[in-house]
Amino acid sequence: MINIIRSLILTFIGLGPLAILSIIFIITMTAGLGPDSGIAIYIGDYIINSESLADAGDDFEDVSAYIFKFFRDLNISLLFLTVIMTMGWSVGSHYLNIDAPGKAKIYFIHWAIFTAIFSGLVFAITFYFTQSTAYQAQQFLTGSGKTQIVLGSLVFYVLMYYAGVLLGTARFARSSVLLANKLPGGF
Amino acid sequence: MKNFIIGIGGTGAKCLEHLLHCCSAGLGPKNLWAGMVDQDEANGNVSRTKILLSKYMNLRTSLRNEAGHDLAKDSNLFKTHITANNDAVWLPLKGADPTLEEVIHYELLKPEVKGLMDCLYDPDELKQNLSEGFRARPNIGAAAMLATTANEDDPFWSQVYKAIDAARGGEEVRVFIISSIFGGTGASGFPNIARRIKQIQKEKNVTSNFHLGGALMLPYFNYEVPEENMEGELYAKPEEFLDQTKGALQYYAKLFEYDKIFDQVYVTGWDPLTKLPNFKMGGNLQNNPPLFPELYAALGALKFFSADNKISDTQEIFHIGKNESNEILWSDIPNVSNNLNSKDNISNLIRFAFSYNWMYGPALTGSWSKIKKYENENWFKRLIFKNTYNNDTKACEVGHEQNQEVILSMQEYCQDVLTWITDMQYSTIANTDQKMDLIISDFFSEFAAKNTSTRVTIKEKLNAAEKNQFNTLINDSKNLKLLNIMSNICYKKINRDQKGLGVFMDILFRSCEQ
Amino acid sequence: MSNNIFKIIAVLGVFTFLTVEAKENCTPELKLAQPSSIAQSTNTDSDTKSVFIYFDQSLSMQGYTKDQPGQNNLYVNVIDDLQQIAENVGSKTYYHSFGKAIVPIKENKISQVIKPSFYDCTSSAADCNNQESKIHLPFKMAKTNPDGTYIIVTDLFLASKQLVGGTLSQLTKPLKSILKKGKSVGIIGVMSSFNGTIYDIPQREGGTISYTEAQKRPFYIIVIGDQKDINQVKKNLEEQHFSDPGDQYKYTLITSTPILQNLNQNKLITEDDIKNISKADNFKFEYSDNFLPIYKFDTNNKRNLKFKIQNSNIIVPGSTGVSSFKITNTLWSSKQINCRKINDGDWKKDKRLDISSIVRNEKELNVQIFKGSDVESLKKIFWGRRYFYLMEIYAQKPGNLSEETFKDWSIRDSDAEEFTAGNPTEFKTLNLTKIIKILNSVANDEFKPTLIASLALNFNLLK
Repeated sequence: MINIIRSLILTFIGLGPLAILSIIFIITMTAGLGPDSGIAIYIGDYIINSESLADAGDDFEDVSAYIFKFFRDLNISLLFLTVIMTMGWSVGSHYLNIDAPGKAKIYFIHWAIFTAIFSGLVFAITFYFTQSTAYQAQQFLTGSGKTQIVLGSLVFYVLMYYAGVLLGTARFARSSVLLANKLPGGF
Repeated sequence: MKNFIIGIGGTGAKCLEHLLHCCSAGLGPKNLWAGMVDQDEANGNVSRTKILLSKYMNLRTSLRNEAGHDLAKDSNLFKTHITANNDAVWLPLKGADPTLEEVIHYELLKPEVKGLMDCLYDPDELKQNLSEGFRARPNIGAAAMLATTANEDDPFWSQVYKAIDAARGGEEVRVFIISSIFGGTGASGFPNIARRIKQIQKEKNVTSNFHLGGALMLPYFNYEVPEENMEGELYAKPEEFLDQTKGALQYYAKLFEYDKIFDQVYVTGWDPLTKLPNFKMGGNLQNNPPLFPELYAALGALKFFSADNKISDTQEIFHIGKNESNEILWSDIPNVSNNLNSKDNISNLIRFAFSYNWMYGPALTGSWSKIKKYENENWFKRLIFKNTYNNDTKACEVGHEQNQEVILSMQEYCQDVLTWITDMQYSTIANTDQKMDLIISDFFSEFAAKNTSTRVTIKEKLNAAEKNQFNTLINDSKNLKLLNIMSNICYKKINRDQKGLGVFMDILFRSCEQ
Repeated sequence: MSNNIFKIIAVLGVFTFLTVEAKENCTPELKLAQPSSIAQSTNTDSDTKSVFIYFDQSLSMQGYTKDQPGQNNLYVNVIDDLQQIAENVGSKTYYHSFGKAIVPIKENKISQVIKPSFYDCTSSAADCNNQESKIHLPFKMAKTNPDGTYIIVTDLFLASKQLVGGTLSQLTKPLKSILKKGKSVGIIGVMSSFNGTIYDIPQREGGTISYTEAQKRPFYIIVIGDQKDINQVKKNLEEQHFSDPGDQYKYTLITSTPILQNLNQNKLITEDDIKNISKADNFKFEYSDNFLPIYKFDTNNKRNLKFKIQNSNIIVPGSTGVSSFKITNTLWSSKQINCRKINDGDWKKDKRLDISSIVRNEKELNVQIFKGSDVESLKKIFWGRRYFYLMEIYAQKPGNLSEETFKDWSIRDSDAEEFTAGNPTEFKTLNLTKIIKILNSVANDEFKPTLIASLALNFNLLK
């Protein structure tokens, strides 16, 4: 049990830096941004279809509430998923049947599949947000904006997950995680 | 405190075998001198114990070396520092083919003394070749021992004298002797060696700090003697064991009444008697299996040596038996002290032996090119690589000869442990209605009762299903898996004092604790 | 006591209802186009209207009065009944002949028109009225007195030189004036038997020839006046003279207003004009105070909206029709979808203009709403909003159907000699298509884009 708690602490240390960024972003989206802020300008220029908005007589400010809600909910979902999956792997790694020398690397396949499932879920969530009609903001996004959101979320949250599992995987299971076996033996 | 144990005869040697394994499991005292007494120099049991003793001492020396591999003083593995003479066995009668006639210089005796000897001994007995023991003739053995036990220069007896000197010097000394109450060497040696020791104590005027204990094995096994080729031969007749025991007990009752020789006596026996399949008169073919009652004697000795054991001024006699059912359980094994749980330590040792023999020992055996595939695994990195790394050559030397010797020696010892516990379990209940399932052993070993030299064959390799049965190895309700072992060796804290392969060995041993 | 309580409750209920109703602000500020008057009829009563009939007295007309064996002489029959037909249109009828000049004909001399002698002239060519057909003369009369109905019977055999320059303007100027005053010109072409000489058939290298072998040849009844009267004349002629299947006649209407009516005026637009719209959620159809039909509904972006107008409801039968329509539209959106919560400032005008498109066939006009180049479907606008879409459909340009109608009765100057050399029994009319074209172009010049229909969609676009 104490080893699992140790793993979880390391997981959170691994997740920490990127998770903090995500949380800051979520808080920023909750509080809202001024039109002159860098993020708002970037969203206006590259993410949303300003021309369509202008045609409809709107501008960024008119739809900003929807856009912020969209990004906030998206990142909350992805952060939650990432934390759960990372913790799940970290805890689950203690129950992998690695009972002999040399067996840990066989479980690389399991980790790869788990990571693929996680990536798939991240993709599915971003796809749901950007393609379905669950959020009004979805219709304001350009095709390239949607692509940026999907790819950016995928990269960001997979990295976050990887940092978490890199540190949080059970010591004896580290060979199942890419490059985790390079960590020092006492860590 | 100084501790001395003497195993007399074949039974004494077998009890010593149990005791050695218990000491490697951490049940023994801090230090112990061990010796055996047997006229049958080539006795299979004595030889087996001698070899085991040698392995124990060598392995312990390798793994308790501050300059090399060190388990460190807190480790329970090979905790007891056991010493012995170069030849751990004392033969009362030396030389090739000694006879009683030669020992007492019969030809040189006065006629009246000769006549007395003729009354006491048959001619066969006087001429019996004693190189393979006293053939269940304690009368012969007693005479032979009394004739030779006084020699202070003898390496064996010099240890006794040193022990008594140490007691005189103020250090507490405990001496324990084990033998059977029946048979030859044991029956004759037990009272005579005890009295001789007491005599030396009196001569040296040692009145305190010296304690003598003993374990007496009442009959616990028998065997069938074949009719052919036995005419005219002197041999131990199992049907006479009970009568001999009866006589001996009467003797000891009187002895203990009038003379406090022992501080504590541990008495045990067995019913029904274990039927051994092989009868051998002596020599290296007399290689009887380890039996459960002998473990009682060994644990009795360890209890005697335990610092928690307060020895009173009055003589104490302890007897022990198992539960009344036909099944022998872990609960039948007594604890050595309040702090030393016999079952926990022994089962810990068995798990250690299993996991080392089939999981980790093979992984560490071979050259670096074979072993290095594990170099990125956490257990290897923290326990092996770091501790066998040579800063000068900038290489891990686990594959080097000196390390490989230790690794292979340990693997051999682990096989001995597994063989011992398996043999004991099978042999104790063979041909009886009794049941003993202290461990599940059929998945890793094969038992051939009639094969004297190799009753138990340990499998060289186990498949995955067999390895998975590890969690049922020790027959109790607890479920420790190989996975848990692996997890533990990755997480257990390393003792700062540990060095080299001692790190891994101790961590693995501690990881096998429930 | 209970009566009083009941009254109080009723008053409160009505007050609440009115308040609630009054609070709904589901319409942005609109500027509706007013329909132009498409009045086809004048206030002139038929009891006071006069009918003026002009017979072409040129010699080429003589052949209509002589029967051709085996052929139906419709000319004689029609002229016979023309007096009676005229009386259906107006109270007094005045008869004239025209050629070089207009000469009144006494009523008792009408019967002469169907006799060959009517077209003879014993005087000198300079004095005879049968040497030419100055068709512009009756048109000039019609210009002078637009209240009457003018019927011109002629073979409309005009050489190209009569259709250029000053001669042409003699025809087009009065026509322009007639059309400007809301009058129309109906041309009924009748294929009748012919037994005579067709004069002034132009030759390629100059000069003219005559032809005597024609057995059939069309004559024309040109009716100038209100569309109603023109239709009446046409109807009478059809019923009385063109009932046989073998009878060949053609009709066209030259008018500056081929549009029959504005559909809003008489509330002719119904909920069924947009297919299946009544099945939409929360559907409601009503007319506003200014005759604007408003379709109110909720929909998702998968719906196809097609507004259908029957051609027969908007285009004057027999007219040139309309060659192109135009849609002017405005789209507003409001983020607030609940009408009661919409403030004036919530409506935002969309900048896109090409939102809907028109697809036509012979029978109907289909307006595909939200299928324009700027907005290709409802998917191109944001859901989760309330929209108000105002659409005004205009007839933009008149058509040229009539040219096609008379095409096969027409022969050009340059082809006339060769055609004649073929000894045709059924002779064509010289430059007929050209004449129709000229008349049409005059009418088209007077044509103004006319608002046919206005409608509004007030819908909540769901996801």
